[in-house]
Amino acid sequence: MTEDPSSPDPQRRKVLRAALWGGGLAGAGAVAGITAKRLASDPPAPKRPPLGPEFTYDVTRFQTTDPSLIQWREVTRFQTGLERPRNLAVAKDGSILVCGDGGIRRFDAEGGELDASSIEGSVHAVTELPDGRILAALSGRVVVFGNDGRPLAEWPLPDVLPVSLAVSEKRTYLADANGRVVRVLDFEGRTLDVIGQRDPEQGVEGFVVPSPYFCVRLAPDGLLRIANPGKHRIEAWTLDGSFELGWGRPSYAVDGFCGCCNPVSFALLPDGGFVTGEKGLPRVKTYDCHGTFTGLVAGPEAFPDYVKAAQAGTPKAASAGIYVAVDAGGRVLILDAIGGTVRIMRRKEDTDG
Amino acid sequence: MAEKDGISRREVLSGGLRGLGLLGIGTATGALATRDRSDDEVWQIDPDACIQCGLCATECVLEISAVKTVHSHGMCGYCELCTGYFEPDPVNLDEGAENQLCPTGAIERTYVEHPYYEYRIIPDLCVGCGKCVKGCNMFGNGSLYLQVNPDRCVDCNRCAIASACPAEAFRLVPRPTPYLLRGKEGT
Amino acid sequence: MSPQHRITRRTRRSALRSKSPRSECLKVRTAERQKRPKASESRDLRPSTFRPSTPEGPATAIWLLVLLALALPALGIERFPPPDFSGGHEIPETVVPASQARTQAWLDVAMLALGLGLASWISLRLRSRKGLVILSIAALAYFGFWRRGCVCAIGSVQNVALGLADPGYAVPLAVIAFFSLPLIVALMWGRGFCAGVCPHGAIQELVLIKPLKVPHWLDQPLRLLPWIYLSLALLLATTGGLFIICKYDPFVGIFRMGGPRGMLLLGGGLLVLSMFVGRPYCRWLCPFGALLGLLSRVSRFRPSVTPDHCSRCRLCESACPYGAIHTPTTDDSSRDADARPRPLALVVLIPLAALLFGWLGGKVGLASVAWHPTGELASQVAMAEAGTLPEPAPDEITAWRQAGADRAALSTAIAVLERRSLFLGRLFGAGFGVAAALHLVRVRFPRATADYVTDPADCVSCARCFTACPYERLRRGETVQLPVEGGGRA
Repeated sequence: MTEDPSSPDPQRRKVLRAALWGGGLAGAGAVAGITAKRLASDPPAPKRPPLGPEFTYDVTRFQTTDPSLIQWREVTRFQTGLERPRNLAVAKDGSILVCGDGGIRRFDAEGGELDASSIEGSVHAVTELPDGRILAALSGRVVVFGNDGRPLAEWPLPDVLPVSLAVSEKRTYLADANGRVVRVLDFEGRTLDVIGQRDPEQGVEGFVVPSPYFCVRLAPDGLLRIANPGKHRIEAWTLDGSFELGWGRPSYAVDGFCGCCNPVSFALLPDGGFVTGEKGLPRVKTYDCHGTFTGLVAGPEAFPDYVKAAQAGTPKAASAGIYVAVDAGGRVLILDAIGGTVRIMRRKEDTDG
Repeated sequence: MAEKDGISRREVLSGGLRGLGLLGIGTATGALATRDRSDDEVWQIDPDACIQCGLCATECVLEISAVKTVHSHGMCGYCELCTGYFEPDPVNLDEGAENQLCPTGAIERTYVEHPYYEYRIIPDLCVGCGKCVKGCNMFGNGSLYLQVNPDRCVDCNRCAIASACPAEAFRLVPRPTPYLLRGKEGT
Repeated sequence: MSPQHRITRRTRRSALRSKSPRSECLKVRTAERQKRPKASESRDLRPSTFRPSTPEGPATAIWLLVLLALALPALGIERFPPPDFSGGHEIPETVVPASQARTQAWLDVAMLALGLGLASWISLRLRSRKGLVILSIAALAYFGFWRRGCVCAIGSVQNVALGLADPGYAVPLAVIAFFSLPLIVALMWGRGFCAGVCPHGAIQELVLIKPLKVPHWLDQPLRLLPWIYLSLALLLATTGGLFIICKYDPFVGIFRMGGPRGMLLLGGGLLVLSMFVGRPYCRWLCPFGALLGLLSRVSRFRPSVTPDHCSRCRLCESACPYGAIHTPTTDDSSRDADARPRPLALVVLIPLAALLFGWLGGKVGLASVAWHPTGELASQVAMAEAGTLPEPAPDEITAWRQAGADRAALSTAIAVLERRSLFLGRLFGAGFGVAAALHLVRVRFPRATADYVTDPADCVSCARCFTACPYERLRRGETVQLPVEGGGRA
């Protein structure tokens, strides 16, 4: 570009070029600034359009309940202090035993801490024997504590996963989720009998236990009540192992047991009714002694952390159930494993003023 | 510009810069290439981090996603009412389309013995939407989960699904063992 | 098909199934005592064994360890045995398909090397436009439609940058090769990659029918855009692993015959533009092209328009669709009047631009935190705490809550990310400033040339100018009338 530098035309051209260059660089700066602003405020580029509703798993319609069905009120709640609580029981003196990963804690009837025993491993169930000893059930063994919390003995139970305990005058009934049977033990740990062993030739269906939730209770009428989660039933069995009856139906509706294996836990109310705890849809419900739905203790709205965890569908949620127990005064105790709390509930008519 | 013995200053400068450039590229290449790597790696989903958001089906650069549901039968409860197979509250516990959860019908249900049924995934029909996974994980044992199928995945430079995953559940695993399994295989 | 429910003797006998007059549920029921076998000793746990479809003995052991290590954090649920089937049903193994072999990556590298060699040889030695066209078609077919645009050299800069910034990231060897081979070729032989190997360039070349001349004053400033793009891409790649070059590649949707609608429209639009304007993506958008252009400025060999003598007929200048042939500056190359301010300009402008754009880049870096997944999560958490989070909650915060909702860890992560983004933003901003300064100086104070030569940075070795030059046609054996010496000066 060798032109005569002194003529006015090239001069103007130089100015014009300089102006354009300046403008260009200013433009670059402007682009940078606008980019910065856009980055900060706008969301990133939209992803491809999401799939339609038929590709979405949606149970939100079951996660709200009719408030008129809720007949119980929370009186108090307390922290268990355990990182991962797994089960609870009520002792004869009214104290509350909570077991979980690492040991057992004892609380008084209002939730005040009493004492604690630590054990290596996860304690799946806890109960109190008539003589005051405490049984802590872990995978493959049962550890026996004295009433003061001292470990006394250990009963080895190879390949047994005990997840629930019930006690009569002379026997311990231990629900073995691995074997899908209820074992009858004496108070020294010897297995005397097995209830519910699957035997197609004899026509014994046994228990369908797809996941490690298997609850057993001894009812005041002398029959064992054993949850059969795969069949969505609570069954009554005699102490020597014959099936009597069962009730319950699979349904996501409020009066049935949702999902594939529920109820995970139940307890007996003083009037002979049942209170049940489920997983998947966190619900605590009451049924009468014939198995007719009578109302809700707490619906999914009362367990928001649980619902959020379940929606994310990760194993932490899949492995957490809602466990229930009933104390002598007819109060329902709910163990919320994800929140780590025990809630004490009373019937509304008992508490209202 | 003075010419010196046929080599101009410009050429010297160019040559110097060229040499510098080659050195730079060589150093960077060498530093990166010799970095410790056990083996070539491929993308895989960590099933315990996955939240089944559904992006696996839409974000893959392939038209049909390389992500499919995998079933660890050893973890399965073999339930008659499988919450990964049936819609919540199915009309009937049969293979009718109105009862099935899977929108593409990619789960096959076969009777084993009372009351147990076996459920298998048909990979060619599965689109990786994760609906069955959510049903299984929310109510069941979690034996269904999403995994990248290494024989369909084209090993993108930067996996588009991995970038979009809100739970950051994608990890790089060695190519000879391209799975992160659950169940007895994973323990 | 539901199996028949087997009614047992026991269930028939129990009358409690019907609603008996006994409303009192506390009565004791007696039943016939049944002899029951002793409890079985140990449960026969049926392990379901895993078998990869390509059995490898020693690898299996390593795999078991790897998977065990990977699965350990997931333990927390009891691994529960499946039902015991009385009929002896075998639980199926989880058969997994093996991954694809690695040979594809090495084949790509081999094809790349071959293509680069051919492109350089054709543009420098053979000097054949036809050859380059054939090579372009082959490259488009292989790298574009067959390999679907991935792995590509343009995107490889992100991998390399991330590899240099993050010591934990191992860049695949093929990607390193895709990054370094075209650059090395550019340093030695010019932009052979652009000439006949890159599928993006190839597709634009092949649709060009009537190139319009883009005025100099528009063309040169637009050539700054690739540098902005490159700096931004490198920033996002190194801070968050966000590969925007891959995501916003306009032509990959055409190669894959599918993709986000916006990108397909953009690609189509660019392709239509390419019919009338030469290589708009390469000139004004391609970030790798910016690097190639910079490096090829000092290349040892570059395409020369005329095989021996330039008579300044200007036929080549109008033949070049990319504005890469400039009017000579002087008759006498020994006098370089305009070149004296050049070093001074460089010394002044480079630091100034580096500082200015470095500062600006820092701002962009901080703003880019919002695009990072961690930044997005942090803003969602902030909204949740302020109570303004929309329901249903976005997936990121759901996953975070599920994983334990560790607030402190998030704050630390954000602080680290912000520091890093600020530093890298400044770094790449300064880099852009240097590149912009170099570009400005180059354009304002061009190198003195006596003949019509190809611009060292901008020439993509497309070989169109060769056929325009009468001396080239003479070399090829055509009868041609040589132009008058010295005619056609600017």
